[in-house]
Amino acid sequence: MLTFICSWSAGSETNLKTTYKICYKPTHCESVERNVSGKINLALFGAVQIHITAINTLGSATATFQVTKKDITFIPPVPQNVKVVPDFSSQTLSLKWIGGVSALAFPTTIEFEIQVLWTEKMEVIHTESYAAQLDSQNKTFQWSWISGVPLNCTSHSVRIRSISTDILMNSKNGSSDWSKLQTIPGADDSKSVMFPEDKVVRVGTNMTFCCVAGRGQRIKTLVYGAEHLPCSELGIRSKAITKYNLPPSDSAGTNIMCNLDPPHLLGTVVFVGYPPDDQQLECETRDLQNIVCYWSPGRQTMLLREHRTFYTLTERISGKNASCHQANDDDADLNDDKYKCNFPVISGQQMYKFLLKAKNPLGEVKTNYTLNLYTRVYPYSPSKVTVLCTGSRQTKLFLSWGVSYKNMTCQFEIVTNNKEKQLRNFTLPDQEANALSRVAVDQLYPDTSYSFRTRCASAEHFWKWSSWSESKTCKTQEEAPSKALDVWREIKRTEHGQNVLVKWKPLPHSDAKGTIVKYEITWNVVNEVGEQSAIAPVSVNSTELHLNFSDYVIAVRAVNSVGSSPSSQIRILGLFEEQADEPSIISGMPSGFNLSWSPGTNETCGYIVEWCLFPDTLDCNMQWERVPPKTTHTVITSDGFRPGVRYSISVYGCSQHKEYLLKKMVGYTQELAPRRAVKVKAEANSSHTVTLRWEDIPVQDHQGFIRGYRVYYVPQVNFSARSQKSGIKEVINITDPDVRNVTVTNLHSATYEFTVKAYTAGGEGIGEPININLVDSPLGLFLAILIPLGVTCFCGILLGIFCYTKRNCVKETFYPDVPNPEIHGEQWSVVEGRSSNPTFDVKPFIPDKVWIIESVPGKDVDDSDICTMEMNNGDNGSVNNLEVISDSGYKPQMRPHVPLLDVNHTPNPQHLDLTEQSEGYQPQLKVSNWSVESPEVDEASACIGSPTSVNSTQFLLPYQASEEGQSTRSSSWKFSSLMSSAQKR
Amino acid sequence: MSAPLSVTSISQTYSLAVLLRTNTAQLLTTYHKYQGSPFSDRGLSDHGLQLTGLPVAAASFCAWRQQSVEERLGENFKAYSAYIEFLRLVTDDQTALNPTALDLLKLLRKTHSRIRMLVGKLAGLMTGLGLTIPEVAVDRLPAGSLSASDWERKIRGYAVCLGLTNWLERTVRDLTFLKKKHRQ
Repeated sequence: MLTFICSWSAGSETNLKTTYKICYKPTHCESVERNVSGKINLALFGAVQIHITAINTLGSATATFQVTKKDITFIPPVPQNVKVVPDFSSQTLSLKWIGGVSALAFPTTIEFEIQVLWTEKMEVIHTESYAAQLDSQNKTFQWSWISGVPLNCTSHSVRIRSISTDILMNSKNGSSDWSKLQTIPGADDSKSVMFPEDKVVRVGTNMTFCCVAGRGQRIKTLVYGAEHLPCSELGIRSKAITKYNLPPSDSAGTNIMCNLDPPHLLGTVVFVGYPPDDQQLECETRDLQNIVCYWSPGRQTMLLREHRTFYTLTERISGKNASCHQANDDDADLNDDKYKCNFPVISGQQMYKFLLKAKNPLGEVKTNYTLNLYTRVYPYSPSKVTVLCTGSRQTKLFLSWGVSYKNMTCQFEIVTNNKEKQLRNFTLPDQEANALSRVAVDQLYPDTSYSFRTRCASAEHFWKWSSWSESKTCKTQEEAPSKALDVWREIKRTEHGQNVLVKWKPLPHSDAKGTIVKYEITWNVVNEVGEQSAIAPVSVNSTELHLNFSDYVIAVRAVNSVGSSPSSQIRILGLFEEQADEPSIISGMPSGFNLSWSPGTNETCGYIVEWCLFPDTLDCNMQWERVPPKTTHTVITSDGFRPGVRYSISVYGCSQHKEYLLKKMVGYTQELAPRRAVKVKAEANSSHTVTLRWEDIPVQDHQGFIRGYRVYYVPQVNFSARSQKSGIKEVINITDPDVRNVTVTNLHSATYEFTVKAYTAGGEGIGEPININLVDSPLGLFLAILIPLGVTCFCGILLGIFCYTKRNCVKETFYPDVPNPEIHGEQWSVVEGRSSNPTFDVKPFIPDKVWIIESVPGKDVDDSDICTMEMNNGDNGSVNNLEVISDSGYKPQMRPHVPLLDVNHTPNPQHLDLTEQSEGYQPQLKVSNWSVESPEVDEASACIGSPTSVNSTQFLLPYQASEEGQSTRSSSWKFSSLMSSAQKR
Repeated sequence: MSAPLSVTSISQTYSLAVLLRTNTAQLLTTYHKYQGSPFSDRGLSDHGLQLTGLPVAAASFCAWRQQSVEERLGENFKAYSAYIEFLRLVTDDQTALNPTALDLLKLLRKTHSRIRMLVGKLAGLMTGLGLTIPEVAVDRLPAGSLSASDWERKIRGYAVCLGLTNWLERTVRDLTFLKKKHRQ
């Protein structure tokens, strides 16, 4: 059973006392006084019929209602004792309240709806539901909310109400009224301020900054750093900007400035960085007295000074803290060496557990490390290292440390003066502080400088090598040279004896075993007593001995401060003539020669290969190389080998008693084309055959083995004769290098150019061209003329005979009889429309050929160029040929001196007035007589000297009686008149 | 005997003031460089920035022109005595805000040291001229200086550097004036 509150409206007022009786099923009635509501006990499930009877002195009336669960609304109580507590630094509002007095006597679920408002604008900025169990009457609830906007920016209010959510109520859920507004006032108007102040936030945060204007001031803009962001209005005096995804700030923070009116420098600073990221904590001991823990700082926090990271290192077994002055020192350099703490070793404690805490305003990070003291020994490098070179092959090292160590394993690095490195290991027993340990180093080379350095690590539990000690240097002592010199000779025999140049190769340092101070040379005649000797300084590698034709044994030894090398001997046979076969040809490589030879019969001590590095020079720089016995091939290489140089290589066999020449070879490392031209002489055997002869090219100019010759010949071209074609180059390849002449046949009578070029595997050399003129014989020329002439004459005679025999036919065809016309007087009729005077109908005469000859005194006409112009006369299709002979060269676009077709042009009277000097019919003699009405002559053709005139040749041909000096002048207009007539046509 | 000594002292003080004037111009530039925008931006206006307790160099021409030697030197002495304290405060502020700005910190320390020297010179000058050295308060920094926000620290550093620049302009003029007067 539940107690419900039912309320109803009373209906019309009667002024009489009315009582009510409520009855519901099961039959149960309650009387209530004059109230409009009453409490009844109702069953929770099912519909209930409620009868309400109103009774007064006048009577009663009953109303019946059917109530179901849907008609019943549960209204929870209003939250009580609502209190809001602000935390301005964290921008947090904390709310506390009591659930309120419920009519229900049992627990029920409820939801509180909380709203935060900006008071000034009454704008709800946050709404949140808070689900709770209302199980006791005075239960206190708490809720907090972090504001995005600093709380000081504007007044904030909070209100709360309850909403029934209990499904067991099986009724309508209602909500309570809102609680009274709880307001947190913002900054007052005494002065302008900005919020938040000196905030430290993480990179990437979104943050709102506000400016609250004081009395008499107005906010204009807000600027984040140098960035103008859009402002939002929080109230009349307050504006805010929000910066999203804050970037890291500078060490001095990022400034946010509020521009006010009137101006005032108002702002705030925000520090944007990262929480600590320290990692990789490691601890070790260097002296078994202190433990050093170090770590990597990870990502830089970007925060300095009071916002920097603080470190604490705690040893958890002992509970003691380590000293982290350096890590926490703000002035220490920001290098990796900064991040370390020291913890003194606790006597008797071998295990240590360290906890590092790194903390800054944005967070904290913890790292653990556990160590066994003796497994993490990182020794110092030896504080003192001394090296003593006591012999030629061994030395002693002396080491000491400032602290004590247990067994150590060590390495020393030996570096020779050739920068060759060698690492050797050794062990040291327990080491007392400052005690000197001695280490012997052997297997060294004599007379060699070595630098030594060493490093050590714990032998029992290897952890880390110490750093290398400083290097110490010493030089081992010398020994006598261990190897005999490599000796060879060069013999020059004269009529008085033999000059022997004894040569040797300096010993390499590994064989010299010291500094060579001199060379001792001794020689004696074979099988005779009595030895001669000489000393050569160390700076030379040869000495010359003048000997007679006896057989000699020559010995050479190298001497250093300790002793001399084994003797190296060669034998000189005084009367022995070295003979060998013809040198064989070998091919080389750019780097040298690959040699092989047949084994010698007496060879017991190997072979000697000998060659000259500079064969073209007087001192050929003789080189030699010894080849071990039973080896009949070798490769000789040298940077001194040059392409195109012929090298002669001799192989000597070495026997017990002598060295004998075994084989000679010649070759090129790389063949080139001959560098000298082949000099050729030519001899014409006939007009069609030429024999060429040439000389050898000097061997030093071969630059390779001559493989043959190529003979080039080509007829020379006469460029002045345009009709002649250029000659075709012919070539004859001679593959026999010994050939020195060649006969070229089938030539024509012309001038030929012959070139002979030698070629090698490296290419073809240059040639020297030689020209030879081939002329036909006079008899041939005579026959060439006479035979065609005879044939022509013979044909002419035959034609003559033929024509004579057929002369009547010829006459009929070519010379028919001409009829004799007879004209009677009456037959002469005058055609109407014609002039009464019979006239001779003269058709315009068109010249076939006009010659204009311009002659300059002193200039031969034959020298002039001849230019021929062809002009079509139009209607009759006949062609006029004009030949102009001028001495002024070819001038195809030469402008005439006299204008063309000028009717007003008055020609030189000397040229016009020709009547006195001419005879016969001359109708155009007077210019004035020319008529423009003439049907034959239009205006344009009224040109003096028109070639259409029958007697125009009078003008065109120079008048015989004209003065010689005027001829040049007259030529110009004659030419122009010609052109005009041509144009007319 | 005191007259030649005073001329020398004025010249030396003048030279020091000229040196400091150059020094503080550089200090102001360097200071701006490390404070971030808007300080590092061009054209930042001081908007009549004033700091409680920080002497102001601005004076009307008539008032300045009519000052006696004693008043002239006395005001300089008092001003720089205050600036010594403010400079120390600014150095501390910048050590916290810009610990890595070594050139700025070095300049602040150098300026502080030279201002102290200038104060000594001014005192010596006044003594040499037989003038009374004015008394200065021991602690001239306003209350709450140490609890200033970072923005306030930056602003007061700006005010101190700027004020010092203005004061050195004035001092150079004062000493030029004095030099002329003493030569006559």
